[in-house]
Amino acid sequence: MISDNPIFRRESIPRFWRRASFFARTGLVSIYIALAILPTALVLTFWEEIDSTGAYLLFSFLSHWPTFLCPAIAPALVAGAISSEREQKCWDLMVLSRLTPAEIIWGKLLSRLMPLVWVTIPFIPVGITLLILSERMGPPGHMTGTWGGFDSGDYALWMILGWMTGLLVAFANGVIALYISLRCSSTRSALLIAYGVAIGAYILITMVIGMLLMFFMIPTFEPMTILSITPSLLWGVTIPAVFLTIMQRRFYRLDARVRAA
Amino acid sequence: MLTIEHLRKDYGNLTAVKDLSLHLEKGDVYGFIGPNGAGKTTTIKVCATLLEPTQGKVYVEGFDVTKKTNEVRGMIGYMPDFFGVYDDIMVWEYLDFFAAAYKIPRERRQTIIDDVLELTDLTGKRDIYVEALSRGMKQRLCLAKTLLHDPKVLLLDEPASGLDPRARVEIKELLKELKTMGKTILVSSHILPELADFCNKIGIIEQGELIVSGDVGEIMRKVQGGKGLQITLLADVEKAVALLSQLPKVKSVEQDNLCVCVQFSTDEVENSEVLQLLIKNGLQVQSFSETQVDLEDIFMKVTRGVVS
Repeated sequence: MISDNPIFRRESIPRFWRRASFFARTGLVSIYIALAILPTALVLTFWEEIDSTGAYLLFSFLSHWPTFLCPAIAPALVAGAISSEREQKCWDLMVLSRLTPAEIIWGKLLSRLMPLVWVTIPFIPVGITLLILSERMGPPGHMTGTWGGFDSGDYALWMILGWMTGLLVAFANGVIALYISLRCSSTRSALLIAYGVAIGAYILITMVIGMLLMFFMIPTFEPMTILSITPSLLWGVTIPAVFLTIMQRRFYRLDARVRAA
Repeated sequence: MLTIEHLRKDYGNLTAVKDLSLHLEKGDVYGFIGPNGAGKTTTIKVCATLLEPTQGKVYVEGFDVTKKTNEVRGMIGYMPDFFGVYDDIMVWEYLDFFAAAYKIPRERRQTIIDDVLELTDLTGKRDIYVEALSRGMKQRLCLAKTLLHDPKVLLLDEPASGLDPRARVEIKELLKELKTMGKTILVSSHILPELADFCNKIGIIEQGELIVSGDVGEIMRKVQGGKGLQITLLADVEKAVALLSQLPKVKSVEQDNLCVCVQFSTDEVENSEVLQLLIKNGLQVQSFSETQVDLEDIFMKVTRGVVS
């Protein structure tokens, strides 16, 4: 159980939260809830004034933040997971404990990716409101541009699929960042390499796969949205499978290389 | 309990440890002495399974550290020379984290934490944030963490470095207590007085080579090369020097004001005979004692002051 993992238990709770008093925690939760419902509250307040070209589009753009924001920030969250412990001289003590490589990897990965959950939650009411709005106003223009065109009836499906894909890609990018963190002695280099590899490779590979799918392999496949989302889904599934297997099997060897260097 | 056989560790072109062999029995406290850069930390890290040897073998209770890593890790407690502690948690939380990491069952953790806190005299700091601890207290906290899983072998790398005299004495007392608990301890240091009190074996390492190793008393005798006497007289020092120089097996006689230092080539010299000779010849002896060699003397005699 991940909840029994000491690394997850320690690292998933942020420092400021650990130190905050009851009142401070209540205040923080209130602010968080307010931020989460503010966009929705604004829409509901100005329900009648929203037109299809202005506020609606801007608001609908908010619903895509989890799709793009989570993959973009995941490497930053995870890149320091191991390298920062090396810098703080805490790593050796952890490696010598009875924690298995799998426990260390999953504890680090999930605790570091926890903020993505907190980032995603405020967008849920935004998304729900947008779904209701789309019934009245049709799908937002940029959505059709992103996913290649769909009916307003499919909007909910594509938004949820977009979010799921975004979180899956974020997880994959986090796994890459953790692998790089395991191989780096400094957080700065881990961060730079993680961004270079995770984002760079993601853009390059998904673009290539997408182009192959669309123009050469199955040119008549419909709807096009499936084709545009498939490379990201492939990335989100393949990368964690490969890198988690490598890390778990070669954990000590990879770590020893950094130590020996 | 701990055996190192012909250990060699290279970092690229640099050889940190060359053909180092030593053996520790259960309950031994081995002082690993050497200047900075001599190879102490590398040796300890190999024993702690953190580095792989280039050549040679290291066994902890018969388990090869490179092959039976998990078994070895369960038996050793390692305290590095430089270490960080998680600042954002309290002392008990820090220990609870490592107790969980050492798979100590939840129901036993509290008792064990209380025990190690008491042993390291940190009970009063239980609910204090780690970042508020002094360097000495952090050192004790790290030692407390090292003891959580009740390791048989302790590998302590410079446990008292950077501490003020009081904190150093406290760590020394703590190590003495661990010795009485029957732990096998390999402790490295370049501060010799801190080892002299409680080590029964020492090894001096320089440029990656173990120059001397063994029982403290034996090494002291070996290095000294024979008995030494320090005699203080009230007068007639020259006469005493002349008399002592004629004794058999005398290596050297040195005079320093009213004090005479005699060095014999063997231990088989009766103090009473020497004293009797002086008194019989009418010399007034104010004090008479055997020369005490300490670790510092040994270290200075056997090392050349070079680092690898």
